Amino acid sequence: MVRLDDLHPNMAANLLALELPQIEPADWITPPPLAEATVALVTTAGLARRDDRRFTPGAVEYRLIPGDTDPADLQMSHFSVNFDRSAFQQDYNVAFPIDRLRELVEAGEVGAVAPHHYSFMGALPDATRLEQTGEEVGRLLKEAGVDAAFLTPV
Amino acid sequence: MGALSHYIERAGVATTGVSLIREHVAGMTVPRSLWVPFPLGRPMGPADDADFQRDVLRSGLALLNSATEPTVADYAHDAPMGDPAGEWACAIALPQPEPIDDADALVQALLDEVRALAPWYDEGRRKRGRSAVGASGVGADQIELMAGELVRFATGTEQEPNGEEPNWAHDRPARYKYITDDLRAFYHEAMLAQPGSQPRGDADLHGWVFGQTQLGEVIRMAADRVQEMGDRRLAPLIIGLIPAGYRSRTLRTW
Repeated sequence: MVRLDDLHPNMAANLLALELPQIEPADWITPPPLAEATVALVTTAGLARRDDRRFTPGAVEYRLIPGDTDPADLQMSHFSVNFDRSAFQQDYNVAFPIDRLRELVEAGEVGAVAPHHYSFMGALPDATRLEQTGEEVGRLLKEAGVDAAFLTPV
Repeated sequence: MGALSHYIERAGVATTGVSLIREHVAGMTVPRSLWVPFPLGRPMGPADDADFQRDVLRSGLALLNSATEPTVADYAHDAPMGDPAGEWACAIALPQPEPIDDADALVQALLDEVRALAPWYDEGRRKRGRSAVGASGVGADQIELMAGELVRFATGTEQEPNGEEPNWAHDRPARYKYITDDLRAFYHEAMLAQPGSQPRGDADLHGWVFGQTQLGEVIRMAADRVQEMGDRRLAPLIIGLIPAGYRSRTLRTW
């Protein structure tokens, strides 16, 4: 278990000092029942396929993770070293739970897995820089018939 | 994650997910989020625990149909991460790291360490069928080259490009951050291949790397070199090399 109190004091202070952008919420969305919903994964773990361009520090663009990507092909190029990378190194599902999502689909609890998933670089000091690419990913998900996105940080 | 939630929802796609810093999502009025009391780096909980991860995913997805207004729900379970009061130690015995000034001797010391870990790295890769090494653009088959590159930078003895360089994914000096990540991934994966060698979080990992390995010493030297370069634009690179609290050679605990 780790909460802010468990982190190094400098890091906890930095996290708490981060200025949080106040973004006007969109109109409330009522998605279809989960068993009928198509779900995509969106992560800020800085993941990219081995042959893709790696993220650079401060990158705001996204990387596409097609649904048929072998997750074993995913690389993490997140800039921060202030988290436990061994978990992802051991099991990609800790940051990109694609196997778990597929299992819920097979069990009938979730309607379908989206055809594409998306990855961003996290730990941006100013998250509003993601506005353009974040909106673009929303539009792409909508056009692909995706009802909901499940977001994972790292 | 909070900002992305808002931006994606503008297109009419509902969002939910997990959050590790409750104060952040609560302060940004995200539509739906499941706060999980897990270590940074493990948003879905422990590795290789499908039942636990599935429950986290199921709990986060459930907010899609249960929440009727912006909601931060608290996940009720801590991740099983071993005894926090207990001791953890890497099962692979490595020589105690020493300060070494001579670049060639330091390269050799780091290569000795890498070679001691290599059989376990290979075993771990075989078991998992994958490796996270590669963020630098170079694979684990060239891990010794990476070790040499990092030492050469740390000691200020870089060699001029000779046209036979591998296909690095990043220019200097950012390259050294990703070489460091790859070397650490190599070390972590070797350590994890040992039966029962399961760290409880980043404090165990950082404590091992920066307290008991030559690699940790080389990374500190690389951070010193960045600082000596005197270019304030490179300050973030130091943050990308060494976690908070491990810059000092006197290992800190908290």
